[in-house]
Amino acid sequence: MPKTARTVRRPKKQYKLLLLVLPFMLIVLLFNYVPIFGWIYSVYDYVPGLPIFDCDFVGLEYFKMIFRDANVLRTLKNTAIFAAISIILTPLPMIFAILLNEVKSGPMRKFVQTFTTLPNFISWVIIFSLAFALFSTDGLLTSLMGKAGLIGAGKSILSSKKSVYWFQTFLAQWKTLGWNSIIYLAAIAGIDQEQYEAARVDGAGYFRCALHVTLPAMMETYVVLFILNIGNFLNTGYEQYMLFKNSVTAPNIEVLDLYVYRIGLENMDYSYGVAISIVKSVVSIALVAIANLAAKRIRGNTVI
Amino acid sequence: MRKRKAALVLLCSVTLAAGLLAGCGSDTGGKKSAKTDKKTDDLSKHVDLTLGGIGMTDSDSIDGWPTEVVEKLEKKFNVTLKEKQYDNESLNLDLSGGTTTDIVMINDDHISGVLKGKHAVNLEEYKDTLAKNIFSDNMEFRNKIMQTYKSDGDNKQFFVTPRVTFGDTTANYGTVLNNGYVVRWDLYKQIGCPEIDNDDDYIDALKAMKEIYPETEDGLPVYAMSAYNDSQLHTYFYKGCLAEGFINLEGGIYVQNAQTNELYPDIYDVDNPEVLTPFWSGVKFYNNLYKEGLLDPDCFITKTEDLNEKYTKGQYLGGNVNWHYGKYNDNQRALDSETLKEYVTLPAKLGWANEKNLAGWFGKYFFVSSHSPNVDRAVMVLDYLQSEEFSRDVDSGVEGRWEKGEDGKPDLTEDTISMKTDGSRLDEWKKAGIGTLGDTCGEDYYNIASDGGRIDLWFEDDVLPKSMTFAEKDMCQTLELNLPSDTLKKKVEAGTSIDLGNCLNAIQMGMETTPKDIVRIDSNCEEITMNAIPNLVQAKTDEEFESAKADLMKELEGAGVKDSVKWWSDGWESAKKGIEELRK
Repeated sequence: MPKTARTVRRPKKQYKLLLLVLPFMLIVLLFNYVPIFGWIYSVYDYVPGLPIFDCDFVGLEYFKMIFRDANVLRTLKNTAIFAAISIILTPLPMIFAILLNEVKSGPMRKFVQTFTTLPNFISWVIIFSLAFALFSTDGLLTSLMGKAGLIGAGKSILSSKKSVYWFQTFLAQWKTLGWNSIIYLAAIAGIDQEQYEAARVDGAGYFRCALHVTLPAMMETYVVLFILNIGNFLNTGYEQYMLFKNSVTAPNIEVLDLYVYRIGLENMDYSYGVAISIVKSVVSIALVAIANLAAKRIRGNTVI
Repeated sequence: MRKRKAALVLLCSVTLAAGLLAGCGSDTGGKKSAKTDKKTDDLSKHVDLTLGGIGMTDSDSIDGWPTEVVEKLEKKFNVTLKEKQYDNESLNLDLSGGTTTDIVMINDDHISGVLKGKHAVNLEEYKDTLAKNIFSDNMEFRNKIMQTYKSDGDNKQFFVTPRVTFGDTTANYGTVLNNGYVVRWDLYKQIGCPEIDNDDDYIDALKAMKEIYPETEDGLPVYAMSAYNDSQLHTYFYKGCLAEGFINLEGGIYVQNAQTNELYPDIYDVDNPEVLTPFWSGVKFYNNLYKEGLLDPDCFITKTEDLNEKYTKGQYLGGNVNWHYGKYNDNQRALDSETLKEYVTLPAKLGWANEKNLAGWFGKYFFVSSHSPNVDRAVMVLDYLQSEEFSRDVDSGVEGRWEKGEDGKPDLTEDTISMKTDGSRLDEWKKAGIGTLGDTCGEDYYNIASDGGRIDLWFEDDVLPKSMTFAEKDMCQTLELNLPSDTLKKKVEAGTSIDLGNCLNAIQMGMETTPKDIVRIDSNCEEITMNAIPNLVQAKTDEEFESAKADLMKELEGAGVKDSVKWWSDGWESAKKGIEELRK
C-alpha cells in the first residue's frame, strides 16, 4: 500500500488516544491489580500491627478451612440463588429500553427515563429506611396489603424468611433497571431508521418492528453484558444484604460477600477473608472463560 | 493549530495523571519516630498532639471544641490537642503503617498486635520523671495487672486504663437509675404503682398499662417493648443480666455472677442446668411478652434508631435502659414542664451501680505510640489524663464552675447546676466541656479527691436532688423516697436486689488473648444463636420453646461450642486465681 499523508498521520493519533486512556488504566491498575499483592495475607496468620513477614506462615491452612466451613456452603447457596435470579432477569433492562423507545412523546420519555434512573444513585441505607417505613408491620404498604388480605396481621415482608429472595431481587431490580437500560437505549439509538421504514412498508407494526429490527440489533450488547454478568456470578455485593439482614432473614440473606465482610472485617480474621476472596476470584475468572467459550461456539464471536 | 491541539491534549492528560497520582503520595501523617533517651519536661516548644481511639469522637465534630477543659490542658502543656475517632479498620491501617495518633486507646483485640509490633512506649521508663500520676500508689493494683497480663512477658507497663476506682471509694446510686424496669410514670401511677420484683410482675404491670393506654394520642399502636437488632445478642442477655444478677463479658456468650464472680456459659447452659443464665432469662421474657401480645411485631427488624423513634412517639410502655427513651421525656417537658408523662426506671434484681473498677474500665487501654514525634510530651499528657485534677475538670468543670466553700469542701456553683438544665445556655454548657472526654479520665466518678469532695461533684449528696424533673419529684413523693434511685437502695437493704459492690470485673483483664480458633467458634455460635432467636421468641408453648432450645444446643455442639467452653472455663479459673493473688 503506497504511503500517503493520511497513513503517516495515523500512528500520532493513536498515541494521543493512548495518552487519554492512561489515567483510567492507572485507576484500574491501582484499584484492581495492585491489591492482588494482598493475596499474600492468605498464607500468613496476619496480626494487625505486625509486619506481614513477621506473622506466622500457615501455608494453605485457610484454604483448607474453606472446605470445612459450613457457612461457606450456606452463603454460596444464597449467592447462587440471587445470582441465578439476576441472570434470569437480565432481559428486563432490554425490554424496558424497547418499551421506552416506543414512547413517542419526548418529554414523557425523558421523565420516565430520569425517574427510573434516579434510584440507582440512592444509597442502600436510604432505601432501607424507605423500605422500613413502607414494609414494617406498621408500614403504609403493609397496612394496605393487610386490608387486601395479602398478608397476615402482625406480619411484614422485612421479617419474612420466605420473602427474602424475591423481595431483595425486586429492590435490586427497582434500583438498577433504569441505569442498566441506558446502554440498550444507546444501542437502539444506533439503529438505522431506514430499517424501521422498510419494515413498516412491509406492514410491520410496533411489535414486529421491535421483534425483528430492535431486538436483533441489541443482541450483541446483550450477549456482552450477559457474559460479564456470568463473571459477576459470585459478586453480589454486601451492602444491600447487610442492611436487610436480621435474625429472621439471616439464613437466606447472607451472601458470600457479606460473610467475607463479617469474618474478615468484623471479626478481624483478615487472612481467612482473603483466602475466600481468592477462591471467589478464581471461580469468577473461570466462569467468564466458560461463558466466553460458549459465546464463541454459539454466536461465533467472543467478548474477550 | 494542530500542534496547539496536540499540546492541549498532552497537557490535559498529564494534569489528569498528576491529579490521580497526587492522592497516592504519602500524607503528612507519615511520622518518623523521634525517640529520645532524655525524659525531659521541657515545654518550650509548642507541639500538636492527637488522641485517638475506637468509639471516641472526632474533635472537629464536638461542639465547643476546644472546651474549657481542653484549653486548660493545652495551655498547661503548650500543645494543640485533637481527638480522632477510630474504627477497627482505620486503626488496623494506622497500626500497620505506624501512623497512629500520639496517644491511642485500643481494646483487647489489638493488644497482641501492638505489643508484638512494638507500637507502644514502655511507661516504666518515665516512672520517676514524667509519669507520677500513672504510677501513684492508688494505681498500684491497676498497674500490676497491666504489667502482668497486658505486657510482653517482661513485666513492663505499656498501657493504662481509665476510671480506676480507689479502694476507699463509696458510691451512691445517683439521682435516677439507668438500668432496670422502665415504666411510663403517669401510667404506672394510674395502675397503683404495683411492686415489681421480677419479670412476671413486670409483665403484669405492662399488661395493665397497655389496657389503659392501647394507642398513642396520634393513633399509633402501643407495645410494651421491642428489641434492638444492631447489637447482636445484647438486647437479650443484658435484660437477663439485670434480672438474674450477672454481668456480661464481651458478646455475652459468657457471663460473670456479680456476687460469686463465677463464669457461666450464657447460651450453652447444659453443664449448669440449675442456673438460669441471662440469655435464657432474657429470651424467655421476650417469649412471654410475645405470648401476651405485648411485643412489637417489628422486634426482629428494629435497629436502635428505630427504637428511639418509637420511644419518641410514645409507642412503648417499658424497656431496660434509659438511653433508649429517644426525645420523649424532653418533648413532654417542653410541652408541659410539670408533666408526669415521663419514662422512669425501677430497679431489677441487679442495679448496675456501685461498680468497683479496681483496675479501671475493661476493654479500654491507652498507650503512647512509639512512632510519635513527641513521645515525652505525649507521656506528660497521658499522665495528666490519669490525674485527679483532669478527672475533676472533666466531670465537674474547671475551677470556677465549682468552688470551695468556707469549710474547704468543693461544691458546684448554683450557676453551673442551673446551666445544665437551661436550654438557652446549651452553647455555654458545651463549651464548659463537662462530660466530654469522660472515657479518658484516670479516676472514677466516686473517688474522693484530695480536697475531700468527690471527683464528680454531681454525685455529691446535696446536688443529687437538684436535677430532678417534676415527674421524678412526683415519683419520690408518691413512693416516699428522697431520690428515684432510692428504690434500688431500699431493695439492696432488704436483700431483694444487689449492686456491683462485690463484683470483681478485673478478672476479665486477667484472661489471655482469645486464640483465633476460639474466636471463630464464638462468632459462629453467636450467629447460630441469632438465627435461632425468632423460633425461641415466637414459640407458642413451653414445649415448643424447649424444642427450639434443644435444636439450638445441637447446632452449637456441631459448631464446637464445647471447645470454647473448656478454654474459657480454664482461662477464667486461672485469671481469677491470679487477680485475687494480686489483690492480696
